[in-house]
Amino acid sequence: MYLLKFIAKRIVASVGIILGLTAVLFFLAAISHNDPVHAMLGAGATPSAIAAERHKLGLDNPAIVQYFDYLKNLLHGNLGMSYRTRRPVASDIATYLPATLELAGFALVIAVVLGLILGLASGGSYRGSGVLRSFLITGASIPQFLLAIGGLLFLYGKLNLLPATGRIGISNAPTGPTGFYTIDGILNGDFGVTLDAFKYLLMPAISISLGPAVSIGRVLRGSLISTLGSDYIKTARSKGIGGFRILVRHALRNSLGPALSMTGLQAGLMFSGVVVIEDIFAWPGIGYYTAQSIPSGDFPAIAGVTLVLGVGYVIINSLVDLAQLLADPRLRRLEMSTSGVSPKRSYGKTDLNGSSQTVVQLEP
Amino acid sequence: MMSNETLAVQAPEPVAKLHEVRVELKRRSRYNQVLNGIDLEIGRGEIVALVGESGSGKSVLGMTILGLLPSKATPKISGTVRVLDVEINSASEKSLLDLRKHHLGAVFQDPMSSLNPSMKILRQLDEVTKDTQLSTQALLDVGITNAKEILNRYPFELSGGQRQRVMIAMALAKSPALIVVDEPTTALDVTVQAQILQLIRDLRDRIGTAFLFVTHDLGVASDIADRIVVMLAGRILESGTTSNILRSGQHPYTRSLLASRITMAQDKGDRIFGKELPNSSGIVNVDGCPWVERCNYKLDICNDVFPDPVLLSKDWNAFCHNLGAVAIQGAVSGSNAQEDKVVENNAVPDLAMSPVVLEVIALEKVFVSRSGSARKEFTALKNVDLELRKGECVAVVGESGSGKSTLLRIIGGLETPTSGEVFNHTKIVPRMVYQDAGSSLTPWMSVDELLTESLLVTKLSRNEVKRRVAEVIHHVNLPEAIGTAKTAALSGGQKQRVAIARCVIDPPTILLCDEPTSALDASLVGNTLNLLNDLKRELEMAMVFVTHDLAVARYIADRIVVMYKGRIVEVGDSKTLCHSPLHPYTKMLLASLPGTNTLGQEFATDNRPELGESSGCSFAQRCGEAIDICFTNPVSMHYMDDGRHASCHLLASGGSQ
Repeated sequence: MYLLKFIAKRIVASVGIILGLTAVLFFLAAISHNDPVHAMLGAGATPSAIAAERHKLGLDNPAIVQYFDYLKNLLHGNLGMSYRTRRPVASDIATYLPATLELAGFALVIAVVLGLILGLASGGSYRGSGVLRSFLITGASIPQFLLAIGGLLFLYGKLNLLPATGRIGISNAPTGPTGFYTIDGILNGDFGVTLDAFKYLLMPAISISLGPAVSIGRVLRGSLISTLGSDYIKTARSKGIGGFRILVRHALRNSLGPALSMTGLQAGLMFSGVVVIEDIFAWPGIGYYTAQSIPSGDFPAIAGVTLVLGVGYVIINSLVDLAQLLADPRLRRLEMSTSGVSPKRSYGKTDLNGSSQTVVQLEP
Repeated sequence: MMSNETLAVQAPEPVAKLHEVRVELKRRSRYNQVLNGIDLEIGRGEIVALVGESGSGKSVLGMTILGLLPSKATPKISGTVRVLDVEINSASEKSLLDLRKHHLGAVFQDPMSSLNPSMKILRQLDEVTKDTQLSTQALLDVGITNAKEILNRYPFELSGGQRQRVMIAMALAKSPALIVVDEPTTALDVTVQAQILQLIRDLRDRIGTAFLFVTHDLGVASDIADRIVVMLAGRILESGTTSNILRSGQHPYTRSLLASRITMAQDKGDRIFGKELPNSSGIVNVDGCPWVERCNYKLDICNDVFPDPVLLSKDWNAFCHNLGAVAIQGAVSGSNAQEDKVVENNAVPDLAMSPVVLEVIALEKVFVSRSGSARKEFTALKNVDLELRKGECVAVVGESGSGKSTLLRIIGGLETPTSGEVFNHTKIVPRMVYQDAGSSLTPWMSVDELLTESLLVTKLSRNEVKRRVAEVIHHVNLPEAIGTAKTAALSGGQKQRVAIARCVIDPPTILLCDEPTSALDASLVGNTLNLLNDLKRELEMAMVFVTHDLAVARYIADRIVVMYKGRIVEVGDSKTLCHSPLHPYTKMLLASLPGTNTLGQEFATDNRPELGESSGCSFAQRCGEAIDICFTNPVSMHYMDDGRHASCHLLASGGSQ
């Protein structure tokens, strides 16, 4: 029941985000003086042809009218036609999105797993955790593009271990059913495809994920350390439970909250990282698509991509919030008992007569 | 006094044996001697109380026995710590784990934070028992009747008392030889505390587990322990059977602890004895006696040599060079408290003639929480009336959740009432002293800056401000030089003094105190109460003093207001109220006071299910004297002579005496 409510709330939120994003985009387009019609018709087009094309596209209307026209189309699921590819933006995105999702998803998995390992390994106090700590600090300060270019120069240029650009080396790439080459390979029983796709995936994914992994690891480390100093860890030790078991069973779950928040934040930043990285590796995803669309002032394409990313951001953060609810029963209780937007944690305030009662104190 | 000694099973082999134990812990990359030459034996089934002020090393001793000293502090242990047949300081990690798994248990101070918040009780108990059936039995053993239900809950869904019971169940489930309990009742209400102490004694009698009971409260220790060990600055100063220590403690420090206790027998005219360290710089006199700076009987040798134990009788040792003088002096003056007694203290003003400075009329406060679309209301205050006269101190007493702090916050203007009125006839905003003085002072400001700040509104000249600051520092008995010190560098007692100084530098007519002593060591409590008493008299302030401790209330206040679940249940002159309480709840509070030796008396458990809001008396469910009418009819206040009133059906029917 409260799950439905939660989803409904997030849908309302994403509608708000879509309205906000498109408004900002239209404002930027209106002040940019970028004329897509010139780019479409070429240098030799006559002024009258240009004017006719502008009228056809509705570009001669004031920006506010264009905005509402766009919203009207959006209601019908129509993202408009790309000025550059002259195909519907929706079908363009459908073509490019799987590549991006595969890359971003894979990068996110690496970031989370690596972050978890880094956090756990540096959270405990034993020999070598100091070295890991300094790695965490340097790791966080390397820009993604530098990592990507460095990786290209070394792993491709020097060692020729990994391919440099593109998504797959096999000529007849699978066409379905998911659009993710690694998964399609497994589904079609062609593991050569999966392996090849994986090789292409590795370098861009690591370039994107290393920064987030380090951030997640650092946050996890911090909250692990404070959790390990808490009273219930002392209790667990007094029960004669061993160090590793305490770390994993008692400390980790209670330390996940901040790390999960950081994951949501990093996932959002990852989307912007994808645009840069896809351009460097010529990865045929929506980042690459956007990078092509910007110079030609292809407004419908840019807007479409932005909307997709915006909704993706909301979805990822909703998943993170759900994971947080799963990890912390106190938050779950709070989410069930309030409809407040940002619940302030108030741990079960106990009542003297025995049975407990959560008194959530809202501002009177 | 008590037959504790006979109860202890004198087994040949003690559970734990410590000999010449020294522990050094690293703090800020420097080693500190935390325990120094500790000799201690805990027999099978014996309850040993470790008593001492904060920083005395009593908790460290408990953790040493558990083999759980924080590895971050890289502890250095010398001497022998033998628990059963394991040498703690040389044992392997594996054998320590086994020892804790099968033979040792621990219960810590704060039940709120000592259970894993994201694990159900069942899983936490099963980690010890490995068997749900045994887990259920463990809960039943500690008096939790609805065990099945509790097992399926998360810790935050339980009350403090229930959580502490779960902690004890967890420690007991493996039938250990020894359980270290570290201030297990400090965070609980007095009535719950009495139940928990009772439970521990019962379990010892039934199962024969030994307990090392760490506490700062001699009253609690006297209720529960067979033997009391008095510690200071890492040294044992005296140890003996409970009755010996309580009746005739010999060490000067033990005597000062006994004298600084605030009991129901405390004469209200007397000042409470208690000495604060001149300036505790954290440097401990390692070689000599740690009490020497505050001792009235010190000899030259005390500075340099820690005395050997003086055997006073079987199992009774005191570590003092000058016990002979202590005994004589003690016999002459009767009690050390004499020294600090102030003679011209008896001029109690006739309060009935003083003007009323504050009136609270029909105050109500409702907190609203939303549960989905349903509104949930929590009534914190219900129809509260209060009157305060100039120079009067009214104590508001009650358990947590009684609404006493909410009342104070509304009077102080920090909260708005839902209905009702607060009339402040002085037009001067009341000042407030908080429970945790340490965190109510900005740590990077100096004492002078803090005090000057509170005079900003008065627009006094710079010289006048300086004079006032110096005056108030003198007034609260702080050394002049303290002005330039940052507040973070002060000791707990000094911080509380600065907090009080800040409130009285621009003398208020009304001072509000929210449990100002409950976070302080016993000796500091006495000091603070003395100070507040002096200030009240000199500045003719009216005071509202919120506390959960009836003994403190009785000492400091002229009148006591007892609250239960947001309502005032009894009001009266503090002496009379404590001597002959009218309301059953007041009686229950009095009976739960530690050190009153009423263990064995049955208290209504905190396990009863909440029956919801009934139309009758809100206390009826816990009341031992409740009659039918209590559950059905609302109570009204019954007024007697000299301002006493109480709300209880029994008063109307004349049933309660």
